[in-house]
This record gives sequence, C-alpha cells and structure tokens, in this order.
Amino acid sequence: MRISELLDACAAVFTTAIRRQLAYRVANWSGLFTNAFFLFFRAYALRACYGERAVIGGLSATDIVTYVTVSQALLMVIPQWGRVEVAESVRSGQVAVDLCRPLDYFAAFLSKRLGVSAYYVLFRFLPLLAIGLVAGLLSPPSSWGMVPAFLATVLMGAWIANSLLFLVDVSAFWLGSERGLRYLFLGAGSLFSGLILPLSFLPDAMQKFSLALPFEYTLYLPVQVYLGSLSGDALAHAIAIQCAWVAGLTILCRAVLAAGVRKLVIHGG
Amino acid sequence: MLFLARSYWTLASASIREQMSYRRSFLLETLGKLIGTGIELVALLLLFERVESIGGWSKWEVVYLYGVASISLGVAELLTTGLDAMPELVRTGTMDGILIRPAPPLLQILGRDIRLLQLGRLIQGVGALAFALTHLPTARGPEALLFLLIAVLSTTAIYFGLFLAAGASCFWTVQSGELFNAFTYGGVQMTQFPISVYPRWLRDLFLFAVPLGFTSYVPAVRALGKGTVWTQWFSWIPGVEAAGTASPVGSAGAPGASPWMATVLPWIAPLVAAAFVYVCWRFWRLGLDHYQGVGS
Repeated sequence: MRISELLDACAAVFTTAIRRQLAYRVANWSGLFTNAFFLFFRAYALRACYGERAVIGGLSATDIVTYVTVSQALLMVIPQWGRVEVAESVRSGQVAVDLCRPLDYFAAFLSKRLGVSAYYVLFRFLPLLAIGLVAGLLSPPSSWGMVPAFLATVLMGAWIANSLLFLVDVSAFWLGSERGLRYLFLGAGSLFSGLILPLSFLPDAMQKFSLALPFEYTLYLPVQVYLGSLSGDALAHAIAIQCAWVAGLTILCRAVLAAGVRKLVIHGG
Repeated sequence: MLFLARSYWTLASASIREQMSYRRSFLLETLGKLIGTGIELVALLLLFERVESIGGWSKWEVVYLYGVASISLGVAELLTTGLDAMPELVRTGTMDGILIRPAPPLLQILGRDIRLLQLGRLIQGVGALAFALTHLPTARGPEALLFLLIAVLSTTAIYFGLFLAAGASCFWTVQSGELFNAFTYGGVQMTQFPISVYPRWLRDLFLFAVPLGFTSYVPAVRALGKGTVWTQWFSWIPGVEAAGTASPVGSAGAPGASPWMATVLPWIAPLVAAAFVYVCWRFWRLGLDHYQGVGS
C-alpha cells in the first residue's frame, strides 16, 4: 500500500469511528455526568489538603483544582483503562478476518481509537472544562502560546495510551484471560499517569521510577504543559521522550501482533 | 422465606463453584481487583507523606473512612454483580425466561453471579480498616465498634440500593446505567474523605438525597469521637432547630453544635438506609411492571 492510500484509509477509519461514537449520545451524557462528579470529588478533596500550606509538590491550591479539572477532562481522550475489542476479536476468531483486510491491523486500530479520542475531545474534554470553569475550578492556561504544545502532547499521549491498551489486549493470544494484566495496568496507569495524584506529590524515589514508565507521558505531560510547569529545555526534553515512546511502542505493538499472528496460524487458524 | 433463601443459595453456590473450578483464573482476577482498587489506598498514604491532616482529620482517621467505604462497596458489589447483566438480559429476551420461573426475578438475577473477584476490594478495605484501628485506640471500644458496624451495614445497603436502581433503569434504556456510577464509584471516592471538605451542595446531596454521607460519616464521627460541630448541618430540619442551637458545656463549643443531635443521628443511619433501599426497590418493581417482553 502506498503512503497516500494508507493515509486515506486511516482517515476513513478515523471518521467512521467518530460517526459511530455519535450514536451513543445518551451513554455519553451519563458518562459526562459521572465524570463531572469525579472532578468535583477529587478537586475539593485535594484542595482541602492545603489548609495553611501554600504549595504542595510545586502546585498551589488554585493549581491543584486546575490540575484535577484538566486531567479529568482528558480522561476519556487519553484512556487509562478499557477494552479495545482486540481481546474479544482474538477469542471469537474475528481477528482472522480482520488480519486479512488490506489496511494494516495496527494502523486501523490506532486510527479507530484516535477517532474515538477526537470524539471525546468535543464531547467530554470541552464540556468538562466548561463545567470546571463555571464551578471556579479552572484557571486559564499559563500562556496561550502553550496551546500547540498542549495539542501535540495530547495527541501523542493518546497514541501511547492506546498502544498500551493494545499490548494488554494482544496478550490474549497467549494468556487465557488478560484480566489480571489489565488490572495491573489499571493500577499502575492510574497512579503513574498522574490521574489520582500529581506526580510531584509522590516521594522522589517513586518519581524517578515513574520516569522509566510510559504512563507519565500519556496524561501527566499534557497537564503539565497546560499549567506551565515545564518550559524551554525541560519541555523540549519531555516532548522528545514522548516521541520516543510513541515510536518505540508502535514498533513493539506491531512486533507483538506479528508474533501473535504466527502463533494463531500455527495453531491451525 | 425458607424457599427464597434456599433458591438463592442454589443459584449462588452454583455460581461460586463455577468460578472456583477455574482456580488460577479466580486468584489472578481477585489479585488484580485488589491492586486496581488498592492503588487508591496507596495514593492516600502517599498523600499523607505530604500533609498531616485533611479537613481536620488525621491520617488514620481518613484511612478509617476509606476502609468503611471500601468494605461497604465491596460487599455490595459482591452481592449485586448479577445486575450487571441486565442490559444483556433485557436485550436478548432472557428476562422473559426469568419472569416465568417460580422464584422472584431479582433473586434469580442476583443469584446468577456472585462474582468472587469482588473480594479484592473487600480485602484491601478490611486491611485498611484494620491498619487504621491499630493506630486509633479510642475507636476500638465496644460502643465505637457498634457504630462502625452500623456505618458499614447501612452504607452497604445504600450501595445495594444504587446498584438495584441502576439495574432497574435497564427496563427503560440500556444506555443510562453509567449515570449511577457517579454515586457508586463516585460515592466510594467521595466518602473516603471527611464530608466537611465538600461544598454545601455536594454535602447536602450526599447527606439527604443519596445518603452515603449520612450512613458512613455520621456514625464514623461518633465512633471516632470527633465532636459535634457537624450537627449544625441538620439544623434546617424543622423542630430540631430549637434543641440544636443550645450550646451546653462539654460540646465542641461552636454555635449550633448539638450533643443531643450527635447522640441521636448516628442511630438513625440504618433507618435512612432502609428508606433508601425501599425507594430503590419500588423503582425496581416499577420497571418490572413496565417491562413488556421482547417478542409478542
């Protein structure tokens, strides 16, 4: 397949995914409702930690509620958990059909998932920012010049997050049930992506450990960009590492998929 | 009554035996759930490396609240996993088959799936509570433990009611179940911190509408001996105000604090829980009556 054909096909899958999500409008309202409540609970609980303290982990009380608002708003755009239909497809055998299609399996997968993320940018991210703003829990970005960097880190964060979910699901080729691995990623992902607490709240040893993991480069980095916690060289450095994770995980996902397909074929698929 | 219990047990034990026959899978899933839920406890402990108190509550008092919340949700999840299948039961018409059997539909639906992996949340909740109690000597007396029991049982009942209501909503539409997550999974998130940190509207919602705050916080305050200042939140109840505004010697000393209310309110928690479950039960009955079956 030539590059232009590949991109056309990916774009088609991308837009179809958005259109498919639009059918689940009621489910999205329910999800938005729940998401908003989580936003309030976390924001007020963390703000209550401040008491007489002005700064914890480099963040002020106004920073922390903005942090919670932006991270909760990005929750569905940069998914930390969830089924991505690959494991079911393996179990049902549908994957054999999907692998015969002309568009590369991983490219199709990623296009679909990024389409879903795009949907959620419109129907979760923006509404939740609005809700946070109305509730007085959102400060504007540190500088509007950060917006391109923010969008880039969100896109790459979504890429990395979906690749990780893909890896968990693809383990279904080998493990009977990938549920255990899924929970492990859920736990690690929740903590090290900065979803539960800003990473700067963690002890130094854990922060160093987190740097070796990809989770920080999914959700935490975009929020840091929004808050302006990183700038200049530090920001460029972080974005470079994020790009490296994007490239590395893409290669890994394709390799693992190929290995899984070989196993499938050998077993009389 | 005995028939009901026996029918339930027949179904439930079958569900349990089925899961235990895949022992390795069951252990891995339970461990996974324990990790997935326990990470919140880890985060809470890490947070207390940075701060000494939240909303006037110390580390172990907050872990105590966390334990109550986790145990309550864990037990409720264990019992009501069967309701997760509601969208499928309604959509595929299996519900019709359930309705013509001689046992109550709810009993059958609950009995079909006693999901043992939910023990994961329960285990880490018990661990948290036990850990907290070793550091809170005053919360170990018989009276304090009684209020702890009241808190856990009442809160479990509220979560049960919420899952029941979520299942009942499937009789109308299968897309709105997630709404209730705001109160179940949101509730467990919210009640791990003292309810005093939340703004008035959230507090009132969870004290009086979906009374998770009432059933967990109110008895916990009594069990931990944290004073009576919070009773002023109830002073709007007509007739109570007159007694509430008295500030006798020995109270927290703040205006509107009422030892009388602090004595009475924790005992009301089970009644509040029962009333809430009754409302959810009526909603379930409404759904059943409304259901028309799939092919006619």
